Amino acid sequence: MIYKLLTNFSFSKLTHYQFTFYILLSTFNFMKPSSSKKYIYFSALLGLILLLLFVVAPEYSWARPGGGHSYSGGGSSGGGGDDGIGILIWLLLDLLPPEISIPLVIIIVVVRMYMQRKKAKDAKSISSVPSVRQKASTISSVDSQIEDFKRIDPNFSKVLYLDFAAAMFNKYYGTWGKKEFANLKPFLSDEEIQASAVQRGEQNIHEIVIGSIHIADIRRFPDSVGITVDIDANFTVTTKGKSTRFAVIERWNFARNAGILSASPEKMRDVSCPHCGATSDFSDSGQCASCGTLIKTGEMQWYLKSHTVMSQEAFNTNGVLHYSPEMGTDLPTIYQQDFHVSANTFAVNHGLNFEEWRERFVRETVELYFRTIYQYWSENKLEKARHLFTDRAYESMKFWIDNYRRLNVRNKLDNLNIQGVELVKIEIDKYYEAATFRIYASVLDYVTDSNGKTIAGSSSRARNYSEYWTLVRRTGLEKDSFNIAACPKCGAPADKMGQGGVCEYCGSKISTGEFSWVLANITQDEVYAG
Amino acid sequence: MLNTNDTVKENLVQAVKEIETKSSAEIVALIKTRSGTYNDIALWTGFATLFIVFTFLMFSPFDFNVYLIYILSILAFFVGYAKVRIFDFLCFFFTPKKRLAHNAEVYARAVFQKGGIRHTTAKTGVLFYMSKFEKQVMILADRGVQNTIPAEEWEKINTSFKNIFVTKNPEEKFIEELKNCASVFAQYLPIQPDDVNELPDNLDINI
Repeated sequence: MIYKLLTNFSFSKLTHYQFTFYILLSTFNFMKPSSSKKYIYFSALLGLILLLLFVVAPEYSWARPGGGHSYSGGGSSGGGGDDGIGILIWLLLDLLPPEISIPLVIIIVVVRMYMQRKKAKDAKSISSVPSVRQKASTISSVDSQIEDFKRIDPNFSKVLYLDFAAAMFNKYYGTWGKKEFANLKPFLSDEEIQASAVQRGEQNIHEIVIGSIHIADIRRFPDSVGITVDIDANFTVTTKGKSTRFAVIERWNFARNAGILSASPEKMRDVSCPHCGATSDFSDSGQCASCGTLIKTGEMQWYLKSHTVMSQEAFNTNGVLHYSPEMGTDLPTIYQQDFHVSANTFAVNHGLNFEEWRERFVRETVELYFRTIYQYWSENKLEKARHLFTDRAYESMKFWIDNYRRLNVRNKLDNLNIQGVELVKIEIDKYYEAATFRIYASVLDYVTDSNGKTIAGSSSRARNYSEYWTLVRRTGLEKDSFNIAACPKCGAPADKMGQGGVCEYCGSKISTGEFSWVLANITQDEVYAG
Repeated sequence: MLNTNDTVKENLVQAVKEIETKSSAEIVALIKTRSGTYNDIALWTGFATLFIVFTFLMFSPFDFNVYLIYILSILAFFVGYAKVRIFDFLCFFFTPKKRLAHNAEVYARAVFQKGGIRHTTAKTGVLFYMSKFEKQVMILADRGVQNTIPAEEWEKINTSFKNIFVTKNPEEKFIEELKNCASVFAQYLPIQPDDVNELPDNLDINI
């Protein structure tokens, strides 16, 4: 019998508690020839101990339900997620007399179900942190705030505004503790200038990467307008030669006087003189060194009124090797509240049949971008797809590629299969158009070391997932698709784009969406809120 | 289709929103099923049951088979252990009330700390924490709120929350009491013209 047990089961499937009782039961099997009364007593005793350890105290035996990030996959394929309890039930039935084993198995199953339900209930908490659905309704109210705001400032463009906010964030931290910080004074409130006075010169902040940025709120007052922006970023702080990378979530509150219009695109893409557009170089009083205009806070451009660090933690690059289970793939798609209105406006603006355009655009542009970016990501050569990204999107993706390179590993994405693409949002303003798609796909997603050995993920089990991709381009452009291997402006090979997204053949900056659609944002389905 | 928890969550978010639209306080509310596992209580109950049964079997006027004494003693332990693990009211009954309150407080303070509720600029973070098993509500307010709202008002708020567990639906009552607090917060910590919510939407409150 012991031989049969040892040869039939994979010990790797058993926890040490299960293993102990496996041995106990096997040993107990030798007692069968002894007196039947004694045998029944011991059967009942062993059954009860099993009941306690496998059912009543399930947290001891099922330490990692779901398996965390391990994707071992291979080897035994039976069991179907029973964590070894099936084997033990089989053992009970095989080794104990039926008058003990059958009621015991029934009790085990019932009590285990009850305890699991109770445990799940105990682990549950209800909080005032909004759910994805509630966040979506907040975002749709922000969207309508933006639409309202565009009525008094038709020049307002969400894309450009976020470019400006991101540039401010970069400049603020990039010049932190340096004399260049003074150039930001025309864009800072007195409160912020005072707060920055305590900054320490020996601290150097660099490698600033903005992961995501979005408008959280727009407020209008009689004499001013305020826009709150949430920024998810990470940067390296070097103090006395030692560096620490931090991941932060910050809330930045910008304001400007009421009654003024947003600046033109070239003045919004960077922190520059709002009058002449020259790179920020201001005197202490706020006079532009280029045009001599005195820039007063909030009179011509947005300024940072206050900012709050909502969370900050040391960033661990080893996280790139961690695989969490996909969480949001089954979540319902979040569509723009007035999608049909936006779609209709888009169709009218371009004089096209919307359905035909959508079908063609998905096939010829979205899927093509998706495959190309995945291919170059997989090859650790994202720079080859530089012309397909906005600056911010490229920097945030490059950050991960740089981490893979630093660890001398590659994130391979094989057998990409696009299962479906849904258009969920269209935004149009004076300067930009943005289209957001939910893309369903499956891929073999794994990380290999320098020897090609898989060290994380799975090279045999496809991962099903979905992501929301947002593409943007300048309003007024008509051509959707182009040769993806060429510069959309001059048609030269897209092999010399540089970090800044500027074609070295024609000198045009491609990453602003001036000539074609560029990828501005990728949001995971479990956090996308509209 | 929303389940009960979704409805409670929606109401909770709404109640917090109601307070925050009138006050500069930054409110976080959390309802947790329990703040501890109380495994030791189950073990002690198991041992106590074992002791009682064993004593009875040993000194009883009836005769018992020696195997039966052995089996029943162990069985008594399991039954004592399992009944406390399975039936919450027994666990509640056997746990010292001081410990229940202490566990809820420790959990609430951990959430306050880990969730970064103390990071608001004007120290206006407030956590309302309800632990159902322990029948406790902990209200933790940051310095700015404590200094502004008089002790008398805090006492009233604390008393009203203490009574929620005598009702049939404590969650609903918790939300109702939360809404009732809106006027106090609005009175002592009115909303500022440029008030901005400083706590992130993805607040980490899992301990």
